[in-house]
Amino acid sequence: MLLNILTGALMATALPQSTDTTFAVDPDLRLELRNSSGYIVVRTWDRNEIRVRADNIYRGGFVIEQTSSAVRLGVRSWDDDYDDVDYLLTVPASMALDLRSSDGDITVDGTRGEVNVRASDGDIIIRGGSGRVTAYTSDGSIIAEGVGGRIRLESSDGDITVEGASGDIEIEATDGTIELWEIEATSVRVNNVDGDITFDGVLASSGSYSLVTHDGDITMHIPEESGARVRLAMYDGDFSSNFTITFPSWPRGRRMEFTLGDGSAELVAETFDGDIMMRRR
Amino acid sequence: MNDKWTAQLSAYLDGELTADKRTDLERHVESCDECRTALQQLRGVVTWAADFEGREPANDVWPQIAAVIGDTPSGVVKLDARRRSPKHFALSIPQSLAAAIALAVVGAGGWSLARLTAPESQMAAVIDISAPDAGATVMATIAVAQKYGPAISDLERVLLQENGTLDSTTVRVLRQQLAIIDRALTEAQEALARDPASHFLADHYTGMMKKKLNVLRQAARNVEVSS
Amino acid sequence: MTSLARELEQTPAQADAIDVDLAVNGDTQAFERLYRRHTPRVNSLARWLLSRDDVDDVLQDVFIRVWEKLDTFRGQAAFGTWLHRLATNVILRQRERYRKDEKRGSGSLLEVADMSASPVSPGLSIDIEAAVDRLPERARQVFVLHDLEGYKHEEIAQVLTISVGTSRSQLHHARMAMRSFFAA
Repeated sequence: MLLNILTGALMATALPQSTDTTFAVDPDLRLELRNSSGYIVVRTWDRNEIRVRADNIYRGGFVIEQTSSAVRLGVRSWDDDYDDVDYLLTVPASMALDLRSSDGDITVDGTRGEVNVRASDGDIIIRGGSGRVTAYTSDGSIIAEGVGGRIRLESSDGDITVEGASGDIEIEATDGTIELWEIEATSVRVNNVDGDITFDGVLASSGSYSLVTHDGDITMHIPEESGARVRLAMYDGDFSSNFTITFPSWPRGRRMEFTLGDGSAELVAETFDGDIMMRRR
Repeated sequence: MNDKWTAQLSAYLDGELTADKRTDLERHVESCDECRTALQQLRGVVTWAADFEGREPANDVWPQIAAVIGDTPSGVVKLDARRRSPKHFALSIPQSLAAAIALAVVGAGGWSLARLTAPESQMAAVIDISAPDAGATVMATIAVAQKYGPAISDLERVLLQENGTLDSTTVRVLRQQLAIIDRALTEAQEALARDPASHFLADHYTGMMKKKLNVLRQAARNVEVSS
Repeated sequence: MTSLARELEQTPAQADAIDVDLAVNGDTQAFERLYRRHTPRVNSLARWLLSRDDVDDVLQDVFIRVWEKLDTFRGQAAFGTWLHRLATNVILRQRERYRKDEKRGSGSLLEVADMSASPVSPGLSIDIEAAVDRLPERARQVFVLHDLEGYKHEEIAQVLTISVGTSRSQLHHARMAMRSFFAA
């Protein structure tokens, strides 16, 4: 694997310390960017070119490497000092993105390609994206809008908001509020420890939906005519609904089960300390 | 203009440079038009910020404040915006009933206690295993503690050791995460002690243990990626 | 001399001191004067730290807390400084509640630098405020806390849970992005 990368066409270009450059690119390649500290903003256009505007390049020089599978951007540091660059990139809309920053926000706007974003300390915003979309931040919030495909979002400390997504959604969080709005996904799995969960969307036939938190309310906005086998559990909280629900029997213990419509989907909501609310959408 | 110098301009303005660096920078600025310009502009930013008087809010909220502090009552005032929709249908979980059943079983005699122990005191609650289904849930919980406990302890020891491979920010966030999960585990344990027959609590405890292990594994993966 | 004339001769700090004394004894009109004098800056502080325009609830919360705690103000600092510290604490506590709206306020340093086609004098404050609006969230928060509110980097690191180095770096980036608004 390493050999393949090394034998690819290698192009290394040293640019001025603050740069604005545009170069042709094969949109089927993956764009890779590693940044120690600083902001990354990616926008898209319908050209097979990448425009790089970068600021705060200290001493080391800016480098573009093109291999058989990827275009890599980064700073070749002379030492660890001042490796702190802000990027504004414009890339082909279909290009796959692999962006990492140790300290700084990452924004991806309008992409149609796969997205893999990691920030150790910073917020992540993704608008668009398809195929496999993953975002991880250790300390920051994540916002994903209009995303499709297999979506996996993870934040250790921060809120996660998803709007207008489709496909499979998996969210892992420890401390933060999780909100999903206008969702048309066949599979949703949300796992939180400390924070509320809100789900607003339609339940697909044979879809699977799991919303779990330890300390927080769970609110579900779904169409009244939804078809789902519903399993709810809460240790210290109430369940409420603003539409009629028929229980097959008096709920036992801390769990309750009932069926909506044809029961084709599966919906699970569990909270240790919080209320569960079901609202007509 | 050299970025090495530019990077020091803010610190210079704030008086945070050492005497040597300050002298070096001043000498450079004398001979560099661009740095001199940048320094003057940065002074402009700092002065503007210090003198900034703010902008009037879009809405005058004095009437609402006055109503609260007792000046002029002026209708409804909402201070805390935690809004919840009214509950049209509410079904309370009968916790008191569950507690009554547990007490009845204990009071009938023939019961025993299990003290669960696991590394790092993952389980230390006294649990009544005589309640209906209690045996199964307790055994399942012990199995979970035994299954995940050693791996969790090992990862915690390696990742959180002093002078370890993780940077201070990552360690801080990881410690916060673990504290939140540990609190959840403790609450689940205490609840299980009160209600040992609850499959939900046993499952919930298991889920939190898995979560803790996954968080630690993710941190370990981050170390691998960055090293 | 009328009270208005006396007030005109006072510095804002003197006027604050008099009104605080009156307000502590229950004079709500004096408290309203304090509110009028300080609301604009607290409003900007809230908008920039919370990344949102709608801060009515926060403003109410801040001034009601000020009213409640007024008797703890001992005059060891200027009233404005005391109030702004209290306001900042209230606002920062509200941050989590509003985090989902942060996307409205997220921008980039390069965008900010682009906003000023040519250097202008600081008289066009509205443009500069718009530039602060467009700063990336963390850079904006550090800039506001440090340069507007006088917080030290160590304090900023604590309240924003970032490192001191990050606070210094973000401040520098924010200032550099803003500088093109100011003629040399």
